[in-house]
Amino acid sequence: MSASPVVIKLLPSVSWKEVDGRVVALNLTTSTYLTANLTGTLLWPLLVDGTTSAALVARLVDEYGISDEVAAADVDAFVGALRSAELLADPA
Amino acid sequence: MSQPRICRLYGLDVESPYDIGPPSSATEPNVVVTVADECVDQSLEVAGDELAVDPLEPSRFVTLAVGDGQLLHRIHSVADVAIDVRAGRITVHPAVGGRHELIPLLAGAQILAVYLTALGHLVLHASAVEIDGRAVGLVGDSGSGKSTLAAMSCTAGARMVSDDVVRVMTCDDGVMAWSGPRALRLRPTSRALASVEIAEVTADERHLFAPDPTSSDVLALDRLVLPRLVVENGVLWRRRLSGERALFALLRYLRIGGWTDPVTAAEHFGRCAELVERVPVFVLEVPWGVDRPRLGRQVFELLRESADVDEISRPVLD
Repeated sequence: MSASPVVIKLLPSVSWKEVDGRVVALNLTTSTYLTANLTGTLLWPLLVDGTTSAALVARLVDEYGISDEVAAADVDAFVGALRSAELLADPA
Repeated sequence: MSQPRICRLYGLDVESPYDIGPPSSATEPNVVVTVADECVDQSLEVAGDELAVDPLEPSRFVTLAVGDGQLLHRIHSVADVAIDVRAGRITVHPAVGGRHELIPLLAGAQILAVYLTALGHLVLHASAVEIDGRAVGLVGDSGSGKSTLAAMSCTAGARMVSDDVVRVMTCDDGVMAWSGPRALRLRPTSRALASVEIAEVTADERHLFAPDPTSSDVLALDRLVLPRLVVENGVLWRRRLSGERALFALLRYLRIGGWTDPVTAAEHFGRCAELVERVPVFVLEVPWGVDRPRLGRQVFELLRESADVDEISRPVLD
């Protein structure tokens, strides 16, 4: 039996808005702000509802036509940055 | 203190014992400010949930939730202010041994700003002037030059809308700025003092200048400008901020900042984000340090220059 994929989802305490085509997020608990780049902004709606790493990779591949490996590295870096900023819920 | 009168400030009809703004035509106030006879001992702790602390100088004020719809805004060494948000009642309790002479100034600015913020309104640390029938907000911390630039532009033809506090409201028709105190409190070091007539010196040792006021209660907000006084370099420079930078800047310049309460913080974030989407935000660098008699006129002209131009650099004329 394979393990369920890890769910990647924003904390409910994260408030965000799109400004000039980029997501700006506020962690209401820590009062820190974060601005996503265009790639992060593309992935953001998936994070709101909760997603998986594979789905994020697929979204990048679909949008930019890059390889799975390159997309996976980008997703890892992006998710790592969100986790460092304490914007993500604990993995389910 | 004199008999209570009703003033019109920030879209409110405020009854208070102080002359804090232009008279209102209303016969009934929607906010009543009273001053308690007895002084309060601020060495005593007050029980409540902390909502906000002055982000620049934590010892200056704290705001607590002390009951359902009840706030206590403690201005250290001045007064405790009890605010009943729903009833529109504000009671000032002077502090034992405090600087009571500051209470009228604070009543017309900081205290009403707390009340408006508690009601969910966006209140900027800004002054505003009317140019060509629309409001231009000058946003920044104390000492950033917003009152000075307002005074300079008023000597060149602008009309005063509000000093130090600007209530902003977004609606279907656009973004509006409410008028507030029409007199400017200038620091003794303000260069604008050279060209204006001072009415009096205030309790906080500022020089009061009463320029021509706007006749409007509320105006369309045309733009926001962040003054930057720079060491003389002979150039006036205006540049538009990106939405992201404008948002971060405005979040720094809320009139009552330091809200740790997540609900209020989220409201501010959302309202500021909406504001920067609808109103251009500029930085205006103004040379400082050498007398330039035509600088006020040039500042005025640059404030009214088309908002569609992202960047303008212009030599200062002698």
